[in-house]
Amino acid sequence: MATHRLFITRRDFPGRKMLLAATCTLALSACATATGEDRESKVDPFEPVNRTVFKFNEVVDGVLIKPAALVYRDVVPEYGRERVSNVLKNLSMPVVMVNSVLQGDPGNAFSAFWSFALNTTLGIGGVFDFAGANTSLNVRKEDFGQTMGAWGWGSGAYIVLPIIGPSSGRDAFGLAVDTVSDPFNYMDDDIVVTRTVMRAIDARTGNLQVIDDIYDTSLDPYATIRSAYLQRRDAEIANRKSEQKPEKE
Amino acid sequence: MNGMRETSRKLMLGMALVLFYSTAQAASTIEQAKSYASGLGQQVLDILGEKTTSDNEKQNRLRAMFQQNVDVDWIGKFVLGRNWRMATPQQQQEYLNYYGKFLINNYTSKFKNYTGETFDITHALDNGNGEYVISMEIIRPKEPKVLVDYRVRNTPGGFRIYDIVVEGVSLINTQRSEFSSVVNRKGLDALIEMLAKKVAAQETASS
Repeated sequence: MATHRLFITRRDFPGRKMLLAATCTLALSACATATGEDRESKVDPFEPVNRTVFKFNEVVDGVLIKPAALVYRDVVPEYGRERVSNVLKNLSMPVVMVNSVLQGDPGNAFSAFWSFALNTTLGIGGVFDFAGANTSLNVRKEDFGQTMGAWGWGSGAYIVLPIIGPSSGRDAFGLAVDTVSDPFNYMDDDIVVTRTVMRAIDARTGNLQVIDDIYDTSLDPYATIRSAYLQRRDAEIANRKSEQKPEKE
Repeated sequence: MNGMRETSRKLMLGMALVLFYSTAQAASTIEQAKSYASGLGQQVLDILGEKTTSDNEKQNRLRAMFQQNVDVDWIGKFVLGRNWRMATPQQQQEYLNYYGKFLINNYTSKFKNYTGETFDITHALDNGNGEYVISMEIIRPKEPKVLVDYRVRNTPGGFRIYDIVVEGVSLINTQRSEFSSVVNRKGLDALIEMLAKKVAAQETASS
């Protein structure tokens, strides 16, 4: 925990904040996972920077991403959106497979492999979820942040990434690893860009209701999203065994 | 003769009472908790599915159910965390008053979004001390399932829900860190004022 304090004291170097956030968080990742109120004050040593990036993201979302998602939802029929989601999901399978292997989960790796093989061929490039409809293959989404979590790494400092949004030292590093290890990121630039944009719009369309609800009911959306993100990642790492007791006061 | 009959009647009554109380007091079972949750879920679906009932009437009935089944005061104290103990009795009272309304409005105003979801109880867990976790899948037409855990507690007045965990995100833990962030940044009075404003906005929106 001493490392946290070190960085907090250096918080008032405005120009270096982002750099500091990006480079130092890994050092914090190994901290034990605390829970509840204490966890969240300790897990967010860069809160002032994070809040600034969060505001920036709100603006970008308001003028660019949310309107695009709304147009997409209103213009493209549900059938088409489902096809797009299927293709994107299929393209994520190699990364899911690799991370399942790294987590010692051959079952999920097997499911990801066969789901990818079947959907790419019989599902015509992933447009149709052949495996989902005709087999009992059930693939859980896995990424390198979750892999590190499964290996026992804590989340490290909470970080709000520009445009991408909530993340953490561990998960931002995981994202970088997944980006490099994803074979489809070595295709034509146009394809990579299209895929990235479609992923953002697809994800935002799926989140429209949830995010509206948060803004509707939260007194501090930044804190709500931070807490929800950290809890959700813990649940994903534990593969959704959510039956622990809530922590007591 | 008469006296004896009287005595045996009293005895019988006494035994019946003992029996009744011992079953009522007996540790609740996981099956009871499950059937409580499925009964409650079915009641909500029934209300939502009624075609002839007005929206206003539906919301009123959902509110009544919510008040009866959710441990609002306990949740209110929990989400304020350590700030609850530091609050004056007057702040506590004001806070709980607004918090209760805020929570009920948040949940019962959402019913218009209902689009034919159903639920399926997948498993239940006994956490001891009369506390149970009832896990269910919310089955949505054309969309992925949502996993929801209801945490319920057996109280003298029956089961009460004290947390709702959606895909691993707990209502009470999320709100606790949200509220503690507001109190740390702006103070308890500001939190109470923000709650009061939200409640006022909710009430104008629904009327």
